[in-house]
Amino acid sequence: MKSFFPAAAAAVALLLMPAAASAHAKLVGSTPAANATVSKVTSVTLRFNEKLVASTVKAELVMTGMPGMANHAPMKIPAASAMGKDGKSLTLTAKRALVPGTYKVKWSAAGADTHRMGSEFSFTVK
Amino acid sequence: MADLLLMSIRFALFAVLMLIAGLAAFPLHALELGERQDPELGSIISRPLPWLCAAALFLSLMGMAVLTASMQGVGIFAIDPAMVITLVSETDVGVAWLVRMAALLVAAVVAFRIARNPVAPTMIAAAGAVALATLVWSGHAGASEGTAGRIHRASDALHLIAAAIWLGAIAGFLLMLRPGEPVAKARLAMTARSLDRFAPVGTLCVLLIATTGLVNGQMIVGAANIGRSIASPYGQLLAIKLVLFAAMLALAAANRWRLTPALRRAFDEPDTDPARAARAMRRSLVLEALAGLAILALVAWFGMLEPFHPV
Repeated sequence: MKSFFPAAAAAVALLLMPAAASAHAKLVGSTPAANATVSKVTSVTLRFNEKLVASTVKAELVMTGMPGMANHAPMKIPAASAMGKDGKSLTLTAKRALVPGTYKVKWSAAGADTHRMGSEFSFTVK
Repeated sequence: MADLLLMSIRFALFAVLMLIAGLAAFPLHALELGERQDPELGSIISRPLPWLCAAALFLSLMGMAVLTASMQGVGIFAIDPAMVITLVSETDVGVAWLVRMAALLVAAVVAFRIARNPVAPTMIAAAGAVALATLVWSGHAGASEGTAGRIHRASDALHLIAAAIWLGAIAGFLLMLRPGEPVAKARLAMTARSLDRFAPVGTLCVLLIATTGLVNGQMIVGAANIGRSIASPYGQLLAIKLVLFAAMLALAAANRWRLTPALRRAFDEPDTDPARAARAMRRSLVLEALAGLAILALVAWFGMLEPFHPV
C-alpha cells in the first residue's frame, strides 16, 4: 500500500495535466468567411490556431470570377498584408473596395512547430 | 524529398549528439578514478569524440539550411544568410540552433585537446547535453505554449539526456569490448566491473525515460486521445517505439543479470573462456544499440507528424 500511493498520485497528476494541442498551423476562421457572400469589402482577415513565423508568411488575393464571366483566369488583386499583434492573424488590405465577383485567398506559412502549411478559400462579393 | 532529408538529418543529429554527451559522460559514471586515468582506455573512449563533434557541427549547419528552406517554402539553393538571420531572430527554433552551435564549438575545441585536460570529459558531457537539449525545439515540445510548454520542454530534454547516458554507455562498453584485439584479461575484468557500476545508473535512466516519456505522451497526445492516435501513423510508430524500448529493457536485463555475472565468473572458474563471455556480451550490446538506433530513426520520423487526426 505504501508503495502504491506515490504511483497513484503520479498517475492522477499526469491525467490532470493539460494535454497541449500541439498541431500544425491551420486556418480557424476568416472575415469574410469561406464561401460567404458579402458586400463592401476592402480587407480580408485570416485567423490561425497558433502563432505564425512572420517572415515565412505568404498570402495572396486573386479574383476568379466577375459578373458575366464565372470562371476566368485568376487575376491578382494588389493587397498589403499585415500580421496581427498576437501573430495569429493576418489582414490583407486592398487599395479600394473589392468589385463584385468571386475571390480566392491563398496562404502558406510556417507555425511555431516549423512546418509549412497552407490552404485556400473563396468568397463572393455582390 | 525535403522531408526525407530533414528526417535523415534529425536522425543523425539525435544519434551524434547523444553519443557526444553519453560517451563523454561514460567514464564519469562507469569507471573508477584510477581506471579513468589509464591512458590506453582513455584514448579508446575519447578518440571518437572530436570526430563526433565535427560531424555534429556539420549536421547542425545542414539541418538549419534545410529547415530554413522548408519554412520559407523555397528550394535548398534559394536560401540566403538573411533568411537564416531572420529565423534566428524571430523563432525559438533559431535561438536553439544558435545555442547548439555554440555548445558544439565548445565541445569540439575541448575534444580536440582532450588528453591535456582532466576535466575535459565533464566539459564535453555538459556541452553535449546542452546541445542535445536544444533539439527539443525541433519537435512537438517546441510548439507547446506557456507553462505547459516549459514543463513539456524540460521533460523532453531530460528524456533525451537520460537516453544519451544509456546509449553512450552501450557505445562505451562496445569500445571496451572491441573485437580484433587479443582479449586482455585486465580489460575484460575492468569491463565487468564497470558494467556492475553502470547498473544503478542504467536503472535511473530507464526510470527517467519512462516518467518523462509519459509526461511527453500526455502533452502531445493526451490519455483521452490514445484511441484516435493509434489509428494514425503517429500512434502506430509510437507503439513500435515502445516495443523496441521493451526489447532494449529485456536485453539490458539479460546483460545485467546473466551476461555480466557470466563475464565475472569466467575469471574465477578455470574451465570457462572469458573471450566467449565477452562475445556473448558484445552480441547483446550490438542488438541493444541497433534497437536504440531504430528508436531514434522512428522519433526522427514521427516527431514531424501530427499526433492524431483532429475531429
